[in-house]
Amino acid sequence: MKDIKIKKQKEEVVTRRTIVIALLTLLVTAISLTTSTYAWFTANATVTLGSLDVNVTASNGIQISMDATNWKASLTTADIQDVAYTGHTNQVPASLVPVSSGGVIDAATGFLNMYKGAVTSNETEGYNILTATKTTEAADGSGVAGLTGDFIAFDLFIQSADAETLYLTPGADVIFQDTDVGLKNAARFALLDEGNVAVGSTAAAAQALDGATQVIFWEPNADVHTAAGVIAALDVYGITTTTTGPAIASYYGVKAPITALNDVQLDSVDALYFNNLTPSVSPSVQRVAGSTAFTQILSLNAGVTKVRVYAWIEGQDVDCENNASGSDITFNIKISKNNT
Amino acid sequence: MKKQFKIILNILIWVFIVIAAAITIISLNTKEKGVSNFFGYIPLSIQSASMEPAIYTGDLIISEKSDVKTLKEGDVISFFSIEKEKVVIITHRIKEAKNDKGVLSFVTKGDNNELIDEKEVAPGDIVSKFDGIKISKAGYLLDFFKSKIGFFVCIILPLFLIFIFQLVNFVLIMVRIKQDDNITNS
Repeated sequence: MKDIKIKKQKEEVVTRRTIVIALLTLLVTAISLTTSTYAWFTANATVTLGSLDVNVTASNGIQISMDATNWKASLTTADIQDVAYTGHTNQVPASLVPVSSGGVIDAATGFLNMYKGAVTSNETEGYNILTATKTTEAADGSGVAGLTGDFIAFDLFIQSADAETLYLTPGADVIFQDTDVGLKNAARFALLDEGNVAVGSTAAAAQALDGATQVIFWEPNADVHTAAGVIAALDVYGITTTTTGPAIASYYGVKAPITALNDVQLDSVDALYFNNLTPSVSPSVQRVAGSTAFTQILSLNAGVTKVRVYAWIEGQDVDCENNASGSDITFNIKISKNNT
Repeated sequence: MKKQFKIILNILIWVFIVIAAAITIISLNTKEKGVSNFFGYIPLSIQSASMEPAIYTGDLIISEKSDVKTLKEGDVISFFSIEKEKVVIITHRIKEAKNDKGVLSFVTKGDNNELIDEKEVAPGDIVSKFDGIKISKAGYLLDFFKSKIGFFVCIILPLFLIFIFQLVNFVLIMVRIKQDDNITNS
């Protein structure tokens, strides 16, 4: 009787062990299957060009960085979005909204003042007037580049052993993967030299630089316009131009907030308005479409230079009109210390 | 005989699960720009003949993260570069480790190339240093595993079949226990 009881107990133990092992094996297999399936899906997600990409490439002895610590020869949108130090004010939004800049620097922050415009009607007379409000980069300091905003802005650190002249190389351009209707011609860059520290200085010292005093505007595709842009140039701005090879025109970038009380007519020729609110802007660097030239853009001191980079769609450009559209934009900033 | 077969089958299943888990971890650890990192070791598949005869096309090299300040002439390094607007990983030998007033950079060349590389390598672009561990032609296998079809055929499908097998096995065990209980009770 006792033997039977012991045998039964042993059988129960064996049974329990069999169930536990079978259950454990099933569980491990299920977890492995789930995890590997997840890995399969994530690793093979279709890689497509983002709606907005920024590539920065340096060559010939110049090194670039997003944090003044990790020095590279090229930076991609992922590098810009993964910038790790807190307190930065970088942003690469998912899409761009037309904005305008008259080249005024905010002395407190070293930022370039940007304005978002709108066209409304004068309440009594009914003619079109221009209004504009300041739009600025969010300073969230989270250590992750902002994914919102109206324009691209980021700090680029450039390291050089000697004082150098910096050139844009062939291939520095704005590229639309899809059909572009005007926005490529309205794209703009601005570079602000925020200051310089010696090689070997702390990253924090370089990151804290904010003493920009001069804006370098760079207008790619400055010599081409869409047919709609040519019409808009005449109708809105009173400028006569052609689709290809026209004289490179200046435009009226916004440099201060404009309210309805300012009553700035869209086609105004009043010099007072232009001087105070929408001065004429002639980018210091204008490149023709498909340029294969090396174009001087910046002079660097030896050491680490902080350059604040802006990229945007200029709302005051003649090609930024109602028909303008495009998608999958790539901003290629290619720099070198050599001009050949 | 039947018991031995069962033991061998179980061992094979567990070995496969461990390998599948390792490959899955490598896949999940694949960071930006396609670099896998497995506890500090970085497996890379060689795509060109530029380093022959030291490393052949299709070889799998196991490289390690390394302090750039310790790199010197003769070391073989893997680094990011841009070719035809695409980010690629190149494995070449250091011809010169430069320190120009505190700015580090590396002149590189493929053993099988006549000329040095056009661009100097910046420290932040260096992925890893090759210490001589390589498996001939296994790079093709890694490329296949990392492909959509390869991962499905070699990992997901066998795991799914093992899962079904284990599920059926579990159900059969439960049925057998139930039957044994019924016999005992009756």
